[in-house]
Amino acid sequence: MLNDFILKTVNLNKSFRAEKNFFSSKTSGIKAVDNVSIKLKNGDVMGIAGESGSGKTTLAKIVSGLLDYDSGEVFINDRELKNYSRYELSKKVQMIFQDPFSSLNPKLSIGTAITEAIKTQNQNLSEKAIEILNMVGMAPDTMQKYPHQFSGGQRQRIAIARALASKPEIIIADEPVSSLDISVQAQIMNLFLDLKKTLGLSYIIISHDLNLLSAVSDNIAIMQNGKIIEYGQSEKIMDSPENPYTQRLISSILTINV
Amino acid sequence: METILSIENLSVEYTVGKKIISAVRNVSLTLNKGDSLSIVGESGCGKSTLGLSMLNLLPKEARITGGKIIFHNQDILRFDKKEMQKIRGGKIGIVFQDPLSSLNPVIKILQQIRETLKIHRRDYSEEKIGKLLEAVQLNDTKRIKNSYPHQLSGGMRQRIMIAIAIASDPEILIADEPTTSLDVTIQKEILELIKKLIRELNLTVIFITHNFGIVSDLCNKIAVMYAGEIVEGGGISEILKNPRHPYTKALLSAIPKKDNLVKFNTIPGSVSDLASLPSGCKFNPRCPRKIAKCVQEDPQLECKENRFLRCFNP
Repeated sequence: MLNDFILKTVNLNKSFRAEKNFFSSKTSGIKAVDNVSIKLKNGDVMGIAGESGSGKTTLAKIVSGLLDYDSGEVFINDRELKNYSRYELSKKVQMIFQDPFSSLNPKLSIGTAITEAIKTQNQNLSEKAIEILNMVGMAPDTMQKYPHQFSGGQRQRIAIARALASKPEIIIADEPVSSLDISVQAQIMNLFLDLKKTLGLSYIIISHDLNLLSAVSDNIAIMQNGKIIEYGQSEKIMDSPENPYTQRLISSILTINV
Repeated sequence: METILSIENLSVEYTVGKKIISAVRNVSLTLNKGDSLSIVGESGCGKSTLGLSMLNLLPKEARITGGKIIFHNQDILRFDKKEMQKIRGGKIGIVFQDPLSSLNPVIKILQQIRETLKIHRRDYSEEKIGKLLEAVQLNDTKRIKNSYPHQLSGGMRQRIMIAIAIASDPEILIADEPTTSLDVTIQKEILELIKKLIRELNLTVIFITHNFGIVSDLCNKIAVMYAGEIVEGGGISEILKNPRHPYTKALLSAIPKKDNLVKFNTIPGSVSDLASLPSGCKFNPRCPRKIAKCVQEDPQLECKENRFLRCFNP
């Protein structure tokens, strides 16, 4: 079927040029994303794990259209990412970041931040904004407040509301809960799961917490040095990892032994 | 067993604008030699404030409103600046979450470790510093001694912090979320290192964390804090196996397990504003086992068979 995969990358590459070495004019490049091919099925959740600097965030930014890539292809609904206008892309993919405080403008009230995002949709603004806030479990009086008046978990809810405002089909969440407390983490992850059901969203979730990933993902990709070194169904990755690095990651998970 | 540190009814308040926030209320703890105690709780429960008050490192907005901290039969809260300096970094070492902000960015590692040794009148020869680095499993000592903090990785920096913390042979090591900012594989290595040091140096440890996984094979005692109070405490395996306080239970069940699931377990609501706490039990607005008494009266921390519990209806 044509539309089986909502998001697909083929041999994607991206390198960052490191600063020129003091002694030579040679510039060395760092391959942040190295020949990566992923396929996200419509309605699925894909988890991406790996250590810092493994290229997870770079990959996420590329498929959200926030970062250019060097070579390879990205398809969203079988149409190449490069052929989307910014506006069109905003209705397909939205990204959520680890630190909601730095992704919300401190000078904009929440109402303004969300109506800005809806404006592109030409609808009855504040009514719609209140409805979206309600979807993420925030009261209507949130509209008049500013980001600093909320806790970390509430801010992440607001960031999710803003992402939802443009009615995307795919949410890319980069460490969405790693700065939150365990009980708040659980609330936000439940919100993701609920929205998946009610809005039929597909997700790419990046996290270093493999337990959390495997609890929500259909498939998990493990990244190291820009490459995907193992990919498969989450149960399979967790129960019988093949790559030594994946094995090390899994054995480093701290569990409660009593 | 010899009691090395005991905290009696400690209370700490912060003044923020016109609000008074009671961050720690009536906390009592006893630490015996060789204990490793974990203080577990979510943000804002007072665990770091508690850690900082043991070293008299509280920010100026904070005020200790009551209680004692007895270290070797002396109340260190009555110590003057000089006396406290001997304890801090000398008898009690501390490791913080973010090694980059606790190390001085413009001073080489060698100098930073030497400073601690000098202040506490220890041998500060290069040989001794080399040994300290080896103790924290940093083998390329020559290069590391001449590096600046930014030239090292996060894991290496945390090892340096640990080296500085143990430099003057402290009796107690306080570790405040020492691995939170590290990758999981590095986290595991640092925890193994701390475990080794506890054994070899006979350290008494206070481990402040929000992660039950870290403490379960590192500590022998646990205190769970909520909204500034200890709500449950005791031997770690008993508490983790059989938690009795509804908050401890809820917190343990919110930890993601690897099995696929439909819903995560959550705790309804959010932590109460510390400036206007509810009457009675501080957890009552979120508690599934709330009874009328929980709103009317303050539950006390009661001890039964070596377990402490602050709950009317466990």
